[in-house]
Amino acid sequence: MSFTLFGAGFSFALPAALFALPIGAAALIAAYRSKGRLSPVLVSSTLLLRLLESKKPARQKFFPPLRFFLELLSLILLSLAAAGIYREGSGKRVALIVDDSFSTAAVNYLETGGSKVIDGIKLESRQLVRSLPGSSAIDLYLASGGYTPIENGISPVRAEERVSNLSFSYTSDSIESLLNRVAADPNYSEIVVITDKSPEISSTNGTDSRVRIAHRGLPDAAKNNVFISDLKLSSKQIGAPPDSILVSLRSQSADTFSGTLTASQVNEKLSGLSDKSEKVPVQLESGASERFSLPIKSQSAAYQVTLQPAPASRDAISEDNTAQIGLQGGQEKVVLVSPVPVSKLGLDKISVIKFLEVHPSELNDSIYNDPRYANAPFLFFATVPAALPPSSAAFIDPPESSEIFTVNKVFSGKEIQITSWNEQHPLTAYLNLPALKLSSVSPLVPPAWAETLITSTEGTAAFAGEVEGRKFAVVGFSLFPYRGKADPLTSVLTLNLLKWIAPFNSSSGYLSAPYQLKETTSVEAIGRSETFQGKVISAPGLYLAKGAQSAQPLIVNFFSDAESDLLGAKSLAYPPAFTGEVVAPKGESLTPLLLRIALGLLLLDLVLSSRFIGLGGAWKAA
Amino acid sequence: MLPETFTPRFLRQIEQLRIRSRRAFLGSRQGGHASIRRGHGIEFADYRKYEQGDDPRRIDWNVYARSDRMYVRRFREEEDLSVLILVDTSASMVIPEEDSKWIIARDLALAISYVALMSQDTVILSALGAFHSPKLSGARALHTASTELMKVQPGAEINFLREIRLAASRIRFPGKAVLISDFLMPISEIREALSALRAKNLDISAIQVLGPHDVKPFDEGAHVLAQDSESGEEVELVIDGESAAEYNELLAKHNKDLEQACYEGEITFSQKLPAQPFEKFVLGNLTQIGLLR
Repeated sequence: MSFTLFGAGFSFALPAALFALPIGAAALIAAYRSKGRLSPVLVSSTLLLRLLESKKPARQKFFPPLRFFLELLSLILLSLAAAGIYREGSGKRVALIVDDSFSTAAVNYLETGGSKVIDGIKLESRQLVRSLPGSSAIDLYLASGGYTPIENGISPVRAEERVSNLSFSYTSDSIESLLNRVAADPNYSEIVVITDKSPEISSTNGTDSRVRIAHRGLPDAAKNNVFISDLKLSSKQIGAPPDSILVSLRSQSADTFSGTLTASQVNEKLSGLSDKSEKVPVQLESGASERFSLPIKSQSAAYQVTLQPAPASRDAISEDNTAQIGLQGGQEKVVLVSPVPVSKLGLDKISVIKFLEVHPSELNDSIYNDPRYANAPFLFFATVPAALPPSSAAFIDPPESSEIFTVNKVFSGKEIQITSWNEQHPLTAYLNLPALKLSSVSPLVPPAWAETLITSTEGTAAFAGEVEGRKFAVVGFSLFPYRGKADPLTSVLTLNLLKWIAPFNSSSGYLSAPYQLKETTSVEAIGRSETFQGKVISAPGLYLAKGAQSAQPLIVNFFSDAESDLLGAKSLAYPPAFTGEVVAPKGESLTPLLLRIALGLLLLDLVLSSRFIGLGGAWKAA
Repeated sequence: MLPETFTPRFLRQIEQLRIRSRRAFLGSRQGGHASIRRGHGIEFADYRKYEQGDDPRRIDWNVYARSDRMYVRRFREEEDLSVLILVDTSASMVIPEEDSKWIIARDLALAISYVALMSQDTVILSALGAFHSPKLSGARALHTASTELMKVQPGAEINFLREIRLAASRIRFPGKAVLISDFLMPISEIREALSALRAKNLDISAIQVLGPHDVKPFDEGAHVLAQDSESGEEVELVIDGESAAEYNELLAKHNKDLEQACYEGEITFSQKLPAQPFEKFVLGNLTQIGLLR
């Protein structure tokens, strides 16, 4: 059942529901006709009353109040909605796939004041939706949105509004797989892709006829791009604080690239970036990849590296010329109980650990309750407490008078050699311990909870184990002073020991955008004003995550060779011909609209029926 | 058992009354009414010789003194009067209940029955559509009359004209007929009913009983939907001063038409209005119209 009104065709999904309209209307009219009637009063005879009535003017015609019309109109709308009225015509289902991947951040440097590719894509998208019939239902997909449309069944007007607000995103696109997935949907009459990827130059025979690929990219001459592909912190000595940043650059440029690398670092307050430090000139040949070292003058939680092209060098995307790096995890605390200060032990060279010094004379049980040392592991040098501490601990060169494990008399001599070691244990795995030259050793007797790690000619030289979840390691010889690379074996053993009792991350790192924040934290951008919506960091940069007790820098990068390599971008293939049957457009359902209007009318009717508003409208007879 | 209306004083008063008939009818038994036959009666006709068995009270002693012979007076033959009392039991007689029209009509029927039975007349009670009694005679029959009338539950849907005809068809001997109703029906229907009774050569009296709500159905200013108790017809009205006055005119005209119809049919008519006390109406109005004497 269909009809035409004002040039538009309408039809019903369930025409039988329209029978409710005349039935309901009749009931409504009858209700209002009888509404004003009085309750009959029995009289002995209406013989004379009838004569009396005939002398009076005729009854007023049925003139219902406003509420009648409100209710009648609501009934009409509800009947139409129940009948599933929808607008027919050329309302088709359109899939609009807009490429907002990172490559669309490219600017046409051949044009003065060139705009980004994304702007061209937006323009093309808007022109396309304007050309669609007003009854079209558009599903809008973005490359950054995955396989789920960000808008479903919206009008061309709404779609135009939506695409106008688009910007490029820090995502890699999977346009081709998205296109194939969308093309498998028989409900789409038309599929349009607007991308900076060129469509495959081949015949469209045998491809899905519904698909149209609109290319809005850069000319090849404008696709030169040099970008930072990776960052790493580096230090000359193992365990030493970083002293340089290794910057990997790639050139996807037809020309030789010249530029300058600079590094900024986050200030101590983590509130901004300090002045840029030393600049390093860089030069890359066409298509080359190279790593450059950028010296770090002072320690910081995080650094930002920027590649500034030389004026003559052309670089299409500037957003991939900045990257961040820092030490993830921060510094771990270890309580050092030692008669010798940390500096003398050389442990201050281990930048990832902060040693809290306690002299053995200060050692008592109250130390373990001190909030400063809460949950921190202990490193005992040349001293042993009366009982095992409540947290993990390492004991280096314990004295003979130890009470918690047996330490035999120190044996000194040049003939002390390591005879065996536990190659499976994380403390001693991958170490060439026989190369360890010991001048003295205190033979140990491992307790029942421990296993022997190192055996020397004089006896057990090291053991380790766990007691009630706490890790304890005992080394019967001194590992100090820590000399880093100068004494790699003991240094590694020391680091292994510390890492075993106090896990820390000594390597540099970053997070990748988009980054989903794991918990409810307040996030600020360091050095710039930026507001956050939701719990996703979508753009690379330096951020400060404020937790309940501390603030921690978040270092976020976006590296995508595929997106930054404009010259090497793949063409976009048309999906194969659709073999199924395209579902005819059903048209725009008017049911939701009618229901809303009917609800509004009924609410108004409810207001009018209120006794406080005297518009109830009883009708009167003569 | 008689209704409370029949106080001892009232009974003593109506015992003095007789049904009055404007015509002589052939009765079936000796009664108190002039008969067309000559015989024992109270209206002197002439003398005859005393015969054994005659009532000694009828001996004319003046004649005996003059003639030394006993003669008795001969009177016009006195026979009983057949009194047919018809009472309307339609719904209009009980709506509204507070008007008590049926009770008044019932009591009127009983009063007339009492008068008739006490003067040795024959009474036939007909509650239209409810029951039709056999010939009742003698004082004891009053109990029967009262019992039957008290049992009547008026309000049924009856065809007034048909019931009148049915009641009239049961009459063997013409006599008196008393029709008690509110007569709130079309005049044409009333005329037909009266004609049916007249066709039986009855001496008819009509008593209209009206209730307060027949006189003034609604207060001024009322907006009502009146429903006829018998037909169910509904009439919606707004009663203002003008319509109240118009109703009174309509009622007066109807009653006048009723009276005219009675007059034309040589039917005595009386109207029991709400304000009139029952006893006074029986002793006064019914006597005035010649139904009782």
